Amino acid sequence: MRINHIYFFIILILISSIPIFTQIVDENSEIKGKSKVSLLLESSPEKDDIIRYQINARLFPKKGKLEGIEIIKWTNRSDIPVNELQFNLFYNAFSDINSTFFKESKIFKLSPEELKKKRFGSIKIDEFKIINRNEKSTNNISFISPDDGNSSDKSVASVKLFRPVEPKKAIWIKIKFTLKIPEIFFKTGQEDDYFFMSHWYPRIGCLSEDGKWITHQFHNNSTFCSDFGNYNVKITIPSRFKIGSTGVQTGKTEKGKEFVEYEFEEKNIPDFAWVVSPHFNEIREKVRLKGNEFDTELILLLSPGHRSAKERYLNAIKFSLKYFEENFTSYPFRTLTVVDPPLKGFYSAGFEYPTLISAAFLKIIPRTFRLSELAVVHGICHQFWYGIVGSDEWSEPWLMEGITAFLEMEIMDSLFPESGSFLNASFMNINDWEMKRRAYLTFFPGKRMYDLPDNLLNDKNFIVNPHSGFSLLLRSLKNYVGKDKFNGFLKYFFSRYKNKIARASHFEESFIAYMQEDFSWAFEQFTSGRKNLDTAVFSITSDPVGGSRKYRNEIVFVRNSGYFPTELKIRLENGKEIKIFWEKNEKWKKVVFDDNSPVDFAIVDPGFKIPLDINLVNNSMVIKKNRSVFKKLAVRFGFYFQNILGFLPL
Amino acid sequence: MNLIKILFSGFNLRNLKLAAYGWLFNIFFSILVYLGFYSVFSISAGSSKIAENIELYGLFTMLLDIFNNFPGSFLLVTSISSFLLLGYIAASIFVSGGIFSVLIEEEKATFFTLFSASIENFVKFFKIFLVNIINFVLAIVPVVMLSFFLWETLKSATNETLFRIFLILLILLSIILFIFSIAIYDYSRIIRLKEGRNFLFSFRNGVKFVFSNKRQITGIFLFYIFSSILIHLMLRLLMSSVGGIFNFYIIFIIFQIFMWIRYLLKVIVIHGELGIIQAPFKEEKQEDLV
Repeated sequence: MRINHIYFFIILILISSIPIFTQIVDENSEIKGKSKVSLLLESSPEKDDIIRYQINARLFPKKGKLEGIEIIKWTNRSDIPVNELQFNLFYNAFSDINSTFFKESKIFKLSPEELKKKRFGSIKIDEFKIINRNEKSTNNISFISPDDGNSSDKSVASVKLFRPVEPKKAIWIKIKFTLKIPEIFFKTGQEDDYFFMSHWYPRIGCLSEDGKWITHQFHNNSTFCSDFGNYNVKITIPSRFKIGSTGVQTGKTEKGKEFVEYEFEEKNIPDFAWVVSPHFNEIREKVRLKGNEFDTELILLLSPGHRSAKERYLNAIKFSLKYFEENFTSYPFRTLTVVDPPLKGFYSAGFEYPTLISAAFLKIIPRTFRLSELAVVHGICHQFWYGIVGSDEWSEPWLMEGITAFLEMEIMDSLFPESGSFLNASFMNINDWEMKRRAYLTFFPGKRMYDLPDNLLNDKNFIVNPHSGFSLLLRSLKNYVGKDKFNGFLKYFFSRYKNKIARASHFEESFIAYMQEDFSWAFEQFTSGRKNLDTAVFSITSDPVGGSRKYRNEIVFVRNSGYFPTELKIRLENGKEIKIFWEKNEKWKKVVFDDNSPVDFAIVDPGFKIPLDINLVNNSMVIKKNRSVFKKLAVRFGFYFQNILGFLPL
Repeated sequence: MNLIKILFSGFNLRNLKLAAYGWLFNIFFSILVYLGFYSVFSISAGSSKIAENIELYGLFTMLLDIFNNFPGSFLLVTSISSFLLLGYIAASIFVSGGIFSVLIEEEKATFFTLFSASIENFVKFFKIFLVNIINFVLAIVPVVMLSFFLWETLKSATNETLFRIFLILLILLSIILFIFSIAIYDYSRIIRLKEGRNFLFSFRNGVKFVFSNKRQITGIFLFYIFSSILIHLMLRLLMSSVGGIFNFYIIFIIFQIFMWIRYLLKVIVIHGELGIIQAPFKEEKQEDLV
């Protein structure tokens, strides 16, 4: 019976597939290049349920326009029938000043005359069709604003289906679209003949297991939730342009005298971006990373006049890849393209997409400011923590950014062990972790990382500061459990959530499971809670014990806010040291003992293992002040001031 | 050759004393700054060891926590610094009254002479300073405007190598404007004392004189700029050794010597400027000066 049912089912599929296949073949006649058969095979629902994108796009640089046809194979992976599809149409975020993006950014404050000079963009859906059902749904498209209810925002489209997509069933969607490319306001767009094309194609939203769509609008302060997919993208551009893109180039075909079509492919990635300009200076190098059976090609696209950045970029790229190779896992892709945007396209600098990083270099900024290295290191960390392990960045933007920022600090500290990893200037060295801590200190008190989405619309800095806090929590935890164990956990978490959307709860559960120790105190306080950490030395007294040469030493340590196990150190005037590990979760701790010597000083966290502590001033207390330290500092700053005074003419 | 002779003759005992007089006011204000910084750090840090742990925390983090936990301290530092800066400008006007007077009148450089001349000339020089604000603004405006223009033009340029060329041009322009601006200020004061006319007359004639003696004045100031750069580079070398092998008291003393040399250079510039105005050079012989 059972077998008969299966046979019946197979026959039914084969019969019902005939019109579907015919339909796809018909529709595919519009898609040039890729063979119809291979598309059919790749789109087979029995093969797997990953989303597949096949995009053909043609850029018209002079018109600032792009025309594209996209075929998406999408499977309903939930257990609930789906009546509606949701898409990101991010280019509509740049259509007018009433979009959520513009409302969140400062541009709406420009005068009407200034606004007139701005070149806005948009994405227009010319045709929307469910191919295997022969359902044309172009007229069923409406715009929704799930994040903020802004009815003027058109960055998310909803398409009502004529009939639902049943669980585990696949559909093939064909979308014809036209982009009006804006100037580069943020991340994407055109400046003269420089095009940074990210967020450019209609991208299907994330469907959660319970059948709900997670499709976020285009925001000024946040990135997005992206589902993983396999991409095959053909881009036709004028021959004089050079191209950098997500994925591996699999083809190049001349299209007449003036155009050329490039084909790129990549699997299991959350997004696809590309960049073109006729002025790039292309540098290619191959590296073989441990455990990979192939070479990874590093492609550096330098803008004119940026030759001096070449070694800085390559050094940072190779160092970061080596760091991941040695501590976690090797970079798994065959290409890594680093684009160095020109000054005119600087608003596209410092962002990352799968296998494509836009770096940052400004000729007017001295190399003592490690901007270029920072952008590359940050971008490479995101290749793993966004490119391979995904997240819903709108709901929990601090999660992936926090892990990335943590690894960025670790790599930058290793890359510049002797000097400031953020700024190395004659008057002051600043490390990357110090900048993260500065951002965190401006964030507290009383704001929770979980409150982020409610605040993103109103507070430009809200995203930057809390992820700094999470990165400092991770560094504190790393120092607590040990580097090897912590790295082991990251490796474990990475492999567990590879090509999946990870949640903060997944991170916390995985951490506790891996460590086999209850760390809920850390997450409850510093991520889901409103606690800040401040441990202090409250008092020191050393009184002679009557009639003897002994002193009664009494030191009180206090937890002003939060709890984190920490080391305490007490030093006596005779040089004797007492070290205590304060693990118990208690508000204060009194240490009393008699000794021949009075106390010299007491200090909380003497090795500075907990950068999460918001006040380092009260971490220590001395009986006798060392005034020479303050004199030295005063002289140092006095020098600068006197120097300035000396420059003023008589 | 004559210009070199004039500048060389500036290295004399009287000018060394005049430089010391200028430096005295500088150190007076600087001590206030040193004491201010010391008090702020000492009070803000309280009985903490944070300043001693600077190697562990880093200077930036140490300052961040001090200012973050005692927000008033940052406000205090900035307001004291701003107040002292204004006070220092007033003091510079006062000191220059004495130095210019002694140089023009060729008097003995005693503290009493300098101080009484400073008092006597303060109001005159203050007026000259006020009228020269136009001069300073006029020197700054083209640089700011050109910077803005260049930024607007070059930010959409394809090849950013032009940036470096324009930046060099901008620096050169700034130097030229700086030279002429300061020279006009100096000659306004010289003419005010020599001729005894009002400040507007002095300013107008200062401008005229500077533009009719461009080459000599440029020569004097180039000497000043290159010497100052040399001094500054030596200072940077010194600064990098702060906290190193030397006791900071020794470094402080060496630093003061550098500051005094810097004042000496300025006195020599004034000496050179006076050399030009006093020399009975005719227009056609002026090229001999450079």
